[in-house]
Amino acid sequence: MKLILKNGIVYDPANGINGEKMDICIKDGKIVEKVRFAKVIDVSNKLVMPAGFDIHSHIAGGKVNVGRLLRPEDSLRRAVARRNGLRSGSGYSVPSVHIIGYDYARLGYTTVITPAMPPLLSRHTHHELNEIPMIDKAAFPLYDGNWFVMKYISEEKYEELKAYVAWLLWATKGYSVKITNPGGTEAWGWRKNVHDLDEEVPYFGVTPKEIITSLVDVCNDLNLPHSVHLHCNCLGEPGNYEITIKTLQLVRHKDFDGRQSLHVTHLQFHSYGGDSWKTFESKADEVAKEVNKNDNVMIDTGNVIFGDTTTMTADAPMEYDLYLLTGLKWVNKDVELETAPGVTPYIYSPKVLVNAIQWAVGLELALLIKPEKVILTTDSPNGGIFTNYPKVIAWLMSKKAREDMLAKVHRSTEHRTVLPSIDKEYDFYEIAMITRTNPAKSAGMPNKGHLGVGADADIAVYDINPLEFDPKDYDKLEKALSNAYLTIKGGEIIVKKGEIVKVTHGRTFWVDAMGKVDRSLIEKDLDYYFKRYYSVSLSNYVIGENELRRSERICVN
Amino acid sequence: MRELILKLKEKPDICLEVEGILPNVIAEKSLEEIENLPIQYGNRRVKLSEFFDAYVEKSETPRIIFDGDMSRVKRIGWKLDGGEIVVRGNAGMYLGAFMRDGKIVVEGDVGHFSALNMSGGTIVINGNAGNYLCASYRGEWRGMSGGIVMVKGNVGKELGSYMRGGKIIVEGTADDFAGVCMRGGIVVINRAEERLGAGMIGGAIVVNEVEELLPGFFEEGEEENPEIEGEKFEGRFKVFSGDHAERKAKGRIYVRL
Repeated sequence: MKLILKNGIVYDPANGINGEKMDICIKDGKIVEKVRFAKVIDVSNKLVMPAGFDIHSHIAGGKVNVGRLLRPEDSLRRAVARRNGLRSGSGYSVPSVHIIGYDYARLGYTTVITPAMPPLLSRHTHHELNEIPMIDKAAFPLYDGNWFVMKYISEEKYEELKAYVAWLLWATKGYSVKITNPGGTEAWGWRKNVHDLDEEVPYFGVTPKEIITSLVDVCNDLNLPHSVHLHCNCLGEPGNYEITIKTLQLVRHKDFDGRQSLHVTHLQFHSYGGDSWKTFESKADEVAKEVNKNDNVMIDTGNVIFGDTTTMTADAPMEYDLYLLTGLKWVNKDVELETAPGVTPYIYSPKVLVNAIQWAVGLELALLIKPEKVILTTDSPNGGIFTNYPKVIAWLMSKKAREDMLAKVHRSTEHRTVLPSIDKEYDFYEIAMITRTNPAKSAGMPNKGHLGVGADADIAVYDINPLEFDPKDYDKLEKALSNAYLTIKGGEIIVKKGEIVKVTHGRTFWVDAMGKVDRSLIEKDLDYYFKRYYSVSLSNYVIGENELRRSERICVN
Repeated sequence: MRELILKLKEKPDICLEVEGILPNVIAEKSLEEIENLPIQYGNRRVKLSEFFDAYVEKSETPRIIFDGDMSRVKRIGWKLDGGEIVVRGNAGMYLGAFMRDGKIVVEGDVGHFSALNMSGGTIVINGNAGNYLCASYRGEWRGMSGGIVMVKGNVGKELGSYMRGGKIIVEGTADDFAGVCMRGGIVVINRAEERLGAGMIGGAIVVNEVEELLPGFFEEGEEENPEIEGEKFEGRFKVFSGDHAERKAKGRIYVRL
């Protein structure tokens, strides 16, 4: 299919295009220089950006499904009937499989990565991803509490560690290395947690610091497209900003020829000061200072949206602490030799000081850190469901929107945060950066997140004129961004005026680095561990490429 | 003001769902419009007139009267926000669920999940009620928060689970697990079966007769003519606190002596 988008106002930070009126030509699912005999669509005075890229959103896998089972009342809040050939579905904070795809397409997003896939549950995750329509996707397998990883690190067998990391990516059809509360999830098996980078994990004797730095080096040596995707220790604890800064400093000198060495995810949950819930405060400024100084890291924000949500993370001790606070229902899982996730509902209330501060911290981080290093997420659904991204964008683009919200939250918020003193307002160029360019760049997908020649024709058009936008009029912005005027995926129009017009199924990206390692190094250990400890056999553990609906293998060399 | 009389033509073979047929909805509509209102019949949308004969009469208050055996008609008064509904016969499941205001009177029995998550208004049931009367929706920890429900007959299991406010009066017997996980409000029961108030951390249960209480309830002495949740009760009661299987439990059970 050949298309020309005519006269749109284009923002494409990767190619330095800042609000220029121009045409975009599409042929065979790619963006091209010129095209003849194409269908012309007039998008004059409309906002044109590359389609959105969500690098951290829990959309599939064991936890998400447990969340659905745990919260039947969540399904009551939102039910979508079957119509126009679209599937039905339900769920507000944990929507069912198909409507996740539809919702993302309506927002103008076409690539989503589910960031925490327990390797043992990767078959489930991929089969669920296969069913999510509209979007391209990938999954990060978890390496945090993995016995092989900790064994090789404690025995200082670096080559074996490298081989195992590559093998697990291949076996689970994963995209990159995710670490959640390094060491903490294994310690949780002993009813403990780790609260310091140098605290030893029981039995294995390794420290979070060793786990992080070893895996950062492995990712670099294997030349994986994305770096380590790190969820730091002590999530959500008052005073955790110190360990966050220490973690960031671990990679300050790991300068891999301009390669990003660490992605720190949902930083908002890791930027708190104070020593108890009573003295809880924002330390976003300190953390932002460290991130700005550090050239090797990328962060995503993990903004909080007020309302009812279901938290789910592979950080089981943290979920248990949250359960003790709220007393609501809670599920804990232990994934054999690998990790320990937990799920519990949570309500972010503007009248609760801690929640109001969390809301402010997320915005402060986005406003204080250089836009080149920021990625917008809500850690969906942990901070709030992804359909609220336009709300966060409105807060970032309009000081008035922030002031209006500040007037509604707990009165002490302004004394515990620096948000009221920040005047910065994002423009559309920077918004395109934090929702499109940066995530695609961080994930290492060169064909995503920009509109240069050769890129995938994934484009979002919104019915708002960016040149006449007044930040005071943020409601209009929110409305326009919530329902894309056009979403184009792989050269096909999938959303028109906020309605889905075509159902497509995207590709699943995964990374094959087996060519860079020697598998025979770990063969014996794999055999032994699977026979001795795992409840599945080695041959049943590996996901075949034929199990992915549309596999997109990225071979690194 | 007017009232709508809906006479069931014949008992349907599968359940009807009359969500949206409310006094405030029909107030401004003509008879023809009312007859064309959609209701759910299995997985099909059908017109109201397909199963009901509709008549309109003058009346003091906006009212809908369901005439006939409605035991296969679900969701009568679902999300009712004012006006009155009368059921001349039995009613099906979900009667008055999520109701906010208004009044429902049922002359016969009602099905399961009636008055689910109710937050205001009054329901009078002259027959028996099924399980989960005034309970919270599946999985929900924020149950009934207001309103009054009176039952002349017996009620099923899990009466008023996760209730936070409001009042339930049962003149007959409540089956097992009445008042389970209560947080507030008051339940008055004539006779309760086993596991009364299991997991309750707030609110009060007043009961004339009970099989036995769970070990999580501690005896706190006796009281004469106590005032419970702002209401005077005559007679002598033995008072229990609990359920101490939960943290910080402040529930109260009053058993008449």
